[in-house]
Amino acid sequence: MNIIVCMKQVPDHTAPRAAFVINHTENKVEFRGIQPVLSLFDENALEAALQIKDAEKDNIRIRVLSVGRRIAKRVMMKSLAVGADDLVTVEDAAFDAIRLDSFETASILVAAIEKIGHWDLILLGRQAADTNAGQTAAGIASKLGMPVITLATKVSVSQGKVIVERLIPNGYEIVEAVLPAVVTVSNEVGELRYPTIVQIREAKSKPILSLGIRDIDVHPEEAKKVKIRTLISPELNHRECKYITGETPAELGRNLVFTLTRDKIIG
Amino acid sequence: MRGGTGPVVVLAEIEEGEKLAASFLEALHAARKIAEAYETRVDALVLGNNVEKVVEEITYYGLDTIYVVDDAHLGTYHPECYLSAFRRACKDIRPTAIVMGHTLRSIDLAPRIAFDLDAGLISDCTGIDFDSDEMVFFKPVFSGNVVAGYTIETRPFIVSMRPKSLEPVRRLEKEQGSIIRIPADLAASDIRIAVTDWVVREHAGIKLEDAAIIVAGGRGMGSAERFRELAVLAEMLGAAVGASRPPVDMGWVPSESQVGQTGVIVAPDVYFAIGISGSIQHIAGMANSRTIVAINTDPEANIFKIADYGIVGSCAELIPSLIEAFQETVNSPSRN
Repeated sequence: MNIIVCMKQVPDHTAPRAAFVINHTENKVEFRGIQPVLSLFDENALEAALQIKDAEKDNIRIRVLSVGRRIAKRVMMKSLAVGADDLVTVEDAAFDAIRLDSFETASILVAAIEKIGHWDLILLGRQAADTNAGQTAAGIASKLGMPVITLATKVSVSQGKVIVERLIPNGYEIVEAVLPAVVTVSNEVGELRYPTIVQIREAKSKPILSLGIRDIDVHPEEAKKVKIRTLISPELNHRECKYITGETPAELGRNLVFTLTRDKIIG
Repeated sequence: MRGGTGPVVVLAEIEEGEKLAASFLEALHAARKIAEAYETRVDALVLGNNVEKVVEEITYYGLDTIYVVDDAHLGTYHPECYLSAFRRACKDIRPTAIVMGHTLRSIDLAPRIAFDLDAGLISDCTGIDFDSDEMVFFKPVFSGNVVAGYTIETRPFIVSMRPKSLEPVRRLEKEQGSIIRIPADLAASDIRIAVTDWVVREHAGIKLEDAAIIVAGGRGMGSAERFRELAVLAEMLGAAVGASRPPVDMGWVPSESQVGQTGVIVAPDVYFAIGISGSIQHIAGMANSRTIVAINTDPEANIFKIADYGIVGSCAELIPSLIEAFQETVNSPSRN
């Protein structure tokens, strides 16, 4: 069984705000000294794939697909080290993460998926950490004529079906679909595991296929529906923090309760 | 591009089988702005089963027309049944725009509708504005480090509004609006995923959305055991227990406890952030709290920048001492 996990590189969200510089002339965001990282929910999607592989052993082949303007291989190596079997990248200068809308992104991913072929299950994070759009999976499913299940908190496969525990208010529902299918994964699946030293070494010999836009049949701009009009740097609402002091935890606790009561914050 | 003549239609979400979701009233606010800009009217669309009570309630919000698709297969949310019914309703309504709250349901439904109708979608909008002939939809990108304003090229277009971004519209004194029923016309060929079971947890204590006080824990809590201590503190304060993302990932708390960009968005009177470093995604979910109290071992933690009161210290030591200190206040006869 073949699983494709779509993983996107995004600028590290823990970078300070000053590192995200808006270029108003070209209406784009420039990143100053920020390292790329794997988008968090995409890491959860890979973890879900690995959990299927843990359960099913030898029959599962996991291929990671990444599309972007410039893909740092060293960042993608993590996915191979934790257990993906191979990696396909599609790079082009036009693949600017936030300028592409979800329709364009879906059309590029579909073209790449059709190019590499062989899939039973396609996993994605529930939304990307940069745009937070959360639409691409529905687009891939719609274009490839497959069912899509969103917000998975657990994914397994059995007898040609994917079985998903899916997030609903105050709990989950169990949903299934006949493969091939698309599933989006939420963080409840668990954080991506760490590789061992041996796995990191072995990852270096795993196959990587690097493609460009000419290798896949796609004209994303024809799909475009949404445009960026403006980019703004928001002000974080800083507050003046009153620090509570005390010699012992007991005193700190008493002083906080006293201060909050005095200031009529709590009654 | 200006709007067509079709209405702006607001999808009414129904909670617990019979209640109109709060997100509907905020989405309605956005819909009115869009309708005003494009000189058209606002209608509502209700999908569900036995929805008479909800439909009656919606008549108090000054809408022109309330479209109702009432079908036994729409009693609980099924993605493909809802999509199929929505597509059928759109054929009659021919909307200029479709507006809904950004809820767990619309996270699933809105992208399906977008690709089905070939309609541009901006999800999780936090603001809208009319700028030289075009509606601009704002949302945080790059984890809130940048806000992007988008225009949408298609008619219809779709927007989902982040909860608590706009004021809910007010209920009027009298009923208004005609009700038009549309058949669901569900086709078996549309249905490919099967819902086989539900597991709904009984929620102990106060819900985050309803709480005046929230005590929330983060990675610094270190264990599920410590969250049980936090629940004791919460009960004393009449507060709800919340969490940042790591405790949910770690399985220390259920996912409905998660406050933040991909969890619940809250704005209580008092928010205790305990062992929470203050990632930008978490802050997006609680920055509008009236008072923020932060407890963290790291004096440089981001959370102190948005806190009104802070203690640099460990939650392991401070939760028990806070429980004790609040207990003393309660017992003290000279309290006030």
